[in-house]
Amino acid sequence: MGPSRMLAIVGLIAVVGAVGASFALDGSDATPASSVDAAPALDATSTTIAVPDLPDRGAHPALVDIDEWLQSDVTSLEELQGKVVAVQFWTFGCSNCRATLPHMQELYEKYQDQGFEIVGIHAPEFSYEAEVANITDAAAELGVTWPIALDPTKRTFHSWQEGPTAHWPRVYLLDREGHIRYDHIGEGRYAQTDAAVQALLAEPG
Amino acid sequence: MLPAFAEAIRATTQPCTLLLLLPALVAVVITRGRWAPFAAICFGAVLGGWLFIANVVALSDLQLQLSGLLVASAIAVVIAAPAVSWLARAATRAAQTATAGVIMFIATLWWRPCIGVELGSILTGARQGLGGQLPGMAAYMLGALVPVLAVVLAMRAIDPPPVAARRAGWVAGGVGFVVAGALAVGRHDELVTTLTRWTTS
Repeated sequence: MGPSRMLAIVGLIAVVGAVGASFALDGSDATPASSVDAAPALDATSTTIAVPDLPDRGAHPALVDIDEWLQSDVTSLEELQGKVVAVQFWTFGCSNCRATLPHMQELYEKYQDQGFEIVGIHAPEFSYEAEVANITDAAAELGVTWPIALDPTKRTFHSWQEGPTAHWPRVYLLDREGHIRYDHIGEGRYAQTDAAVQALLAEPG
Repeated sequence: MLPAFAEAIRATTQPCTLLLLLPALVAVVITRGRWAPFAAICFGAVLGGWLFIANVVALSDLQLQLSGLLVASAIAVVIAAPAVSWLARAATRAAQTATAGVIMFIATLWWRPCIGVELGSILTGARQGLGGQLPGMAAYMLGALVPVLAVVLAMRAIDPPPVAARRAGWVAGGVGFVVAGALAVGRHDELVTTLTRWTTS
């Protein structure tokens, strides 16, 4: 066997090792989320979780072409002024969106009584995700209990997110005046989001 | 950077990475696992990844179709070159290497990534300042190419006879042609849906 073949085999073994290690690292990623779950009273002033910067980015954009609201008495964000609102862009088929939902549920349960609300803007990626019955079934299955605004044309999805590309999941936090104060793309940063909600709730109304 | 690299490796098991991986796999197989095309693929992926987080380009439907046509044509030329004398002269190794890089770069424009913890942090951070996120994004894109590296190494370890390598190239080219062709005829969404359902069923 030539040296280049031998090197290729060694390299292949190293690649397999790297793949295995990456899945092992995945386990360590879960630790912070678990610790958030285990520590319901996250203190925004604690030394472990710093409150993220919450610059005022101005009033939120309008909701455009919302077809329908599910699980809700309200039909606009304006009706929620005076509350701290998490606006999350999601679609039920997106695995990363699904991973965030238990954490959103946790926030909802912790802070709903203190003037916190979540609005899930459902912007479908595929046609089967646009069918209302499928969304309703998925919401029940995934434990989504907060209001859902349906954005089948994705006009709101694109108008809120700057630039030509928009992402799922993405969460924005609005203060009591309806101004955007925080946003995060993708999974994770659950403790920071929690701290941001606490800080916004602590601001005078 | 290591967590981003590792997250990208894990993402390769999810359907959302298929539109990035398939063209890269096709490109390395039709270029017979040579290192230069693989390096060009890495370069194209990193460049495309940076463009992605810069958030300055999104292909229109027409551009998507044209890009599919371009990639389908490039694959056809690389595959057919040995059989056509004037193409064989044009399709030098350098041209094949460049083609592999271009195919990969275009594939990054087709890509709709799964946004996990690390890629989410990179994208969120890029909204505040792009510069600090470039190393992390490069690591992510290279992590996404680890299965492609595995194929390159496997091809070099097996060192298939020329006939088998040529047949593998035809098969890979056929797959690439179908993927790129689907985009060229405006079936991007159907393609992604099919790949998603196929890999999750």
